[in-house]
Amino acid sequence: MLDKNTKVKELINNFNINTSSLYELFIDIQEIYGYISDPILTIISEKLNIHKTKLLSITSSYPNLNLLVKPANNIQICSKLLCNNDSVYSNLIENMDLKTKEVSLTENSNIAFCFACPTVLIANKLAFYSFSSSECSTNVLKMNNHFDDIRQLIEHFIQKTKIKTINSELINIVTNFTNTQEFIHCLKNKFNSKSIYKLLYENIKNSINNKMSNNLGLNNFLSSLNFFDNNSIQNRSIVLIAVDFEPFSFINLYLVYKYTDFIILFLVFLSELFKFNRIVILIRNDFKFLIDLLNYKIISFQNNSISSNYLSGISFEIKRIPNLIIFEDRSAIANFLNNKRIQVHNTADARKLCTTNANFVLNEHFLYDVYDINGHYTCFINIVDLFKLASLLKNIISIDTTSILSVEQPCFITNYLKETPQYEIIFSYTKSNNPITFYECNKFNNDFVTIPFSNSIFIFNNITTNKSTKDCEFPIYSENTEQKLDSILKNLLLSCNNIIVTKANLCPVKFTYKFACYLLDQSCGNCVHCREGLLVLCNLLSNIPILRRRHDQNQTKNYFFKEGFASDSKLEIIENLLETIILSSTCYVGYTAGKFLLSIFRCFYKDFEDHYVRHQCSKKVCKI
Amino acid sequence: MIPEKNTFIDTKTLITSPNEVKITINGISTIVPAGITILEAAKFLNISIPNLCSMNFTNRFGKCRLCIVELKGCEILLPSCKTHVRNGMIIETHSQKVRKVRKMLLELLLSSHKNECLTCTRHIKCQLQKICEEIGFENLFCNNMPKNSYIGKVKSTNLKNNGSHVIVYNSDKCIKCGRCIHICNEIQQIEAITYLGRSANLSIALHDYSVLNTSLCNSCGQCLLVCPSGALEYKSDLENVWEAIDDKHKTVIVLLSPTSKISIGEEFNKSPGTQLCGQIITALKKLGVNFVFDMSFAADLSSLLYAQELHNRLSNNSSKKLPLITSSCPTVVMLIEQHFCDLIPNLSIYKSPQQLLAKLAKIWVSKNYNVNIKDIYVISIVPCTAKKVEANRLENKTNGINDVNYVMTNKEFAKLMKEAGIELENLPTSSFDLPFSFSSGCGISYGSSGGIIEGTIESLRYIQNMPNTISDEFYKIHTMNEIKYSDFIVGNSKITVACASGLGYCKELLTDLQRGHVKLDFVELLGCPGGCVGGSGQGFDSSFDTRSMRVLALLREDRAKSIRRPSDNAMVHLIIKELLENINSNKAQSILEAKYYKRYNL
Repeated sequence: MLDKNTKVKELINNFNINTSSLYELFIDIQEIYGYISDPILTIISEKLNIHKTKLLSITSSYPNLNLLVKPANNIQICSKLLCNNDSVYSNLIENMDLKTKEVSLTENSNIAFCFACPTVLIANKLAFYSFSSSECSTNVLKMNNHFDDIRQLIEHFIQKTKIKTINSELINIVTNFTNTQEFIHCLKNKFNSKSIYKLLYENIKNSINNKMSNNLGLNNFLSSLNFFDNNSIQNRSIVLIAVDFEPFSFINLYLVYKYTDFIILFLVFLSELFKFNRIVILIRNDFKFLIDLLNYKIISFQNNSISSNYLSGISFEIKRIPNLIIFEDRSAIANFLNNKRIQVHNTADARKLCTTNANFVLNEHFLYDVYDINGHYTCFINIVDLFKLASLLKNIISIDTTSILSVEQPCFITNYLKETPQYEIIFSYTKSNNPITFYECNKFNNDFVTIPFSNSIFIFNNITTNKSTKDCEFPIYSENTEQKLDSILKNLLLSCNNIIVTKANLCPVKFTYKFACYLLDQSCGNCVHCREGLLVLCNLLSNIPILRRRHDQNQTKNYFFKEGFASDSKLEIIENLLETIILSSTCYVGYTAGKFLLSIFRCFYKDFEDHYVRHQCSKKVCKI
Repeated sequence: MIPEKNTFIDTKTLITSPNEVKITINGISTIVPAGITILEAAKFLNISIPNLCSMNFTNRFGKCRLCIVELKGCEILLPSCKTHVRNGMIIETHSQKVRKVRKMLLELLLSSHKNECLTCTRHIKCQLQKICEEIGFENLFCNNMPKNSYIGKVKSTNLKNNGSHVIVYNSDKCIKCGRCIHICNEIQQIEAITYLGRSANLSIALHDYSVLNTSLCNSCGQCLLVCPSGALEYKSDLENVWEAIDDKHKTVIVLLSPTSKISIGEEFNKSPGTQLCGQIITALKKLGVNFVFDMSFAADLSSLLYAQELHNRLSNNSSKKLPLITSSCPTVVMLIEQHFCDLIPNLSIYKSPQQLLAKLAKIWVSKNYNVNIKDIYVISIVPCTAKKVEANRLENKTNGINDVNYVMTNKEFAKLMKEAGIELENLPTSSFDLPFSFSSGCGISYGSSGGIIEGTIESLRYIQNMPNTISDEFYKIHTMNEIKYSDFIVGNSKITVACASGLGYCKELLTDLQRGHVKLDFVELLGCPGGCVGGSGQGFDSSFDTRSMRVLALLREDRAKSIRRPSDNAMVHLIIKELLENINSNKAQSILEAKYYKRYNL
């Protein structure tokens, strides 16, 4: 206990209000004690001169921070949308003796990036992830070797690459460093030769070529790196853009927090290898806090502004990156780049894209080009892709992941899907002024479309039609792969530029309910329309007779009609509710939540009608 | 047509100044000062936009969203309490789209609010009810939906509070507008209330939160006044009071505070400041109360005591420090005990008027009527909730029984009258019982900020045998400012005084004192804005206007009194002689002295 106390004291004493983060401090303290106790809050409040109640409200708003003592072996199950975590839950309870007090089982919707596979965290470490629940139960017992630490990562990197000469020195650094910054500094000093970076780069390139060939963004990023490799241009810079970064795909702050180390490492390695002079970050106003994370994990706490940001109680401040450009929306970024763009070099694919699509959507066009901004030759990478690359960096070094799919590599999901026919891909598009076109139609395989799992936008060629329920347009394919696409269209989910991989025969009503629950968890709860609106929506969606029948099997059929549920008027209410949420939102979370759900609702209006008026489920998922 | 043209020309010329902007609301174009919000601008045009979470334009959370307006060229609807005006804005406040969305938002607000209007303490005075009337409430999904099927995932963090404190939080009725948090953190600066959790689990935490013990609440009760729904209440002692009154074997004494005399009328739909003192006494006598005593008497006594103590401290007879801080307000005492432990020796050693009178009354009644002290019940009627806590303090008990057995607020008294079926307005007047019945003018103005200083300075002059000065020198401390500095000449010396009202300003003054920025001899601190006239036991309307009307009523009565100085109150001297022998005697000290402790929680 004494050691722990001294550690915490050191942590708090070294904590500097101007340069470090409260969230980081809380996480560090929690790693020592397992929870954040009352005396610690008092100490911090005295040190920072912030009132304790304010700290309390901040800590309680993060699901990852515990205010109560939790059992050491806390198992968290991802309660995301599509995967049936009910079976995982029951499997876990069967296989493990969870009734003892030392182990606690909780649900947490903020664990994973992806929408598709059940995830389990054991003692805050990613334990296992799999598609089918049977795998889960077996794998959870086998869980071992997870590389959450950079230290382990580098050790394995050394083993794998077999750099024996610098081994001892590296291990010295690795074992002695205390923070990322210091570590990078050491690395830079010790290894002037590019050997490590080169090796790393080759590895990444190979793996991208092998496994992620579908990912347009990454490919183009690499091709633009090639451009720098081949040409001798003086001023080089890299630009990170956070444009299509839907809040619900990354709001899991904990994982982003964990990833930032890798991203920083990756950025350092890029700048070492290609001699990038500067790193510019183009972001939308909403994503400011991401910069802070990248900026060596700085989340600063401003004293007087408990703002109504969507992370309640916290406002973020940009600290160290000088070349930061913030735009209000996508079109501003596109305009900015369009003026500056010069056609320097492109891979063949990218060139094709540029020329063939007259109506390309501006905001992703700069993914695969080199621009001239203020005399700097600049390549672009989407931050989502960067996260993926960073995860890749992690995975190259880790040992085989062939048997188990990793949550960190969503791109593999599509490959995996080919082997498991019970999954289908559902993809989406937005309704915008520009007609949406589909790209890469040749790449349809036997049963599935191999669409990279990413929220950077993919352009599909030659599809423009208008077959709709209510306002939304359905894309229809006109060429020879028409029939296959039809089968996909049956399970189409519309959203804001999101692609969702899901099981076949998923009931859209059930999906909407699960998604609404998930979005409710993401809401900070300050504004009425978001907090109460989504809660009421959850109630409306879960109280459909068919869904309720599973719980109330003894009830007669008349029961439901008497209650007054699931009538025509309910459908109207749902639609009005969603419109209200969209219209009264001023932040991104509420707005996208409403848009997403409304697009699903309108697209699957027939299914909703089935449920609410005729009391049947066309997918036969909701059993009677 | 012509006036329109004229206005148009006017606007064009005026727009050139940077401090003004031209906007159009509901088709009416006007010029408003730059920097204000749309809500304020609409107020200029007499357009009322419904709003719940903003109060007096000071806090702008934008949480209730009822104040949304449509801005031309903007896809979403904007909260007008948060949006500042810009040049050329075209705003619709009650268009069809806005009305539809606003109605839906009201439904959402009420979906988590328990519809218990008939039994609610706020019934008729409720702000939510008013807004429902304004917007129109259709009850789409409130009643016919089973409550929260999602509730399995909602953690039960918000427990109903049943601790020793006065304030009770009822999460069923809370609409999470954040007004109480604003007034507690920004205006009173106690920071006892905060948000906890997020999304559907968002709740408001009071001192009794089970995980962390952050009970900093001073029970000033300002949050009760601003709560738009009935989520915050105080514990009622009404049943106990009834029990005491119905018991024929008990002797019941009621103490009536000077501020309650003039503010109880508000509960019976009179304008603020209506004097109902005589009727109240008659009504209490009708109920079977044995004695009704005037708390202004205790105020006179307490002025004398403060003056004596100040005199002692000034003449270096005592080792205690200057300035002398008044101990009349329990919230201030608690504030000093919690946050300003260094200043505890500066607090006056004497109890507050309520406790002084209760103690003396009990002794006097038992002595003159041969009643056992245990059979005497003292009930006080005050405009304050913190007095309930004060009455329960350990040091205010003799032999385990509270000196003041029960404390009633104005609202509770009004309810008592209604339950007893007494029409207060039509009763004849009667006067207080002897001997605690007379008071000077100063004793009456105790309820407003500056009253204590006036009484004490006058008494100090009496102690130093100075002549009675009848002048208007005290008007400068009877203003409605929050912090007032002044000085008075008593004899050869100059006495510097300060008075603050509202805990936030008290805190400001105390920190100044602690750091030695100011040097003062006497400090009067009152916890509620404007003094006891802003107390939380009174009507829900605690605006500046209402408070100043109450102050005016107090001062009017004060000036009407023939006896102006506390020292001229012969009854005070009589009682001191009869019960205490002398102010400085040991007996007096043992009866009148208060004790203070350092404390972190209450």
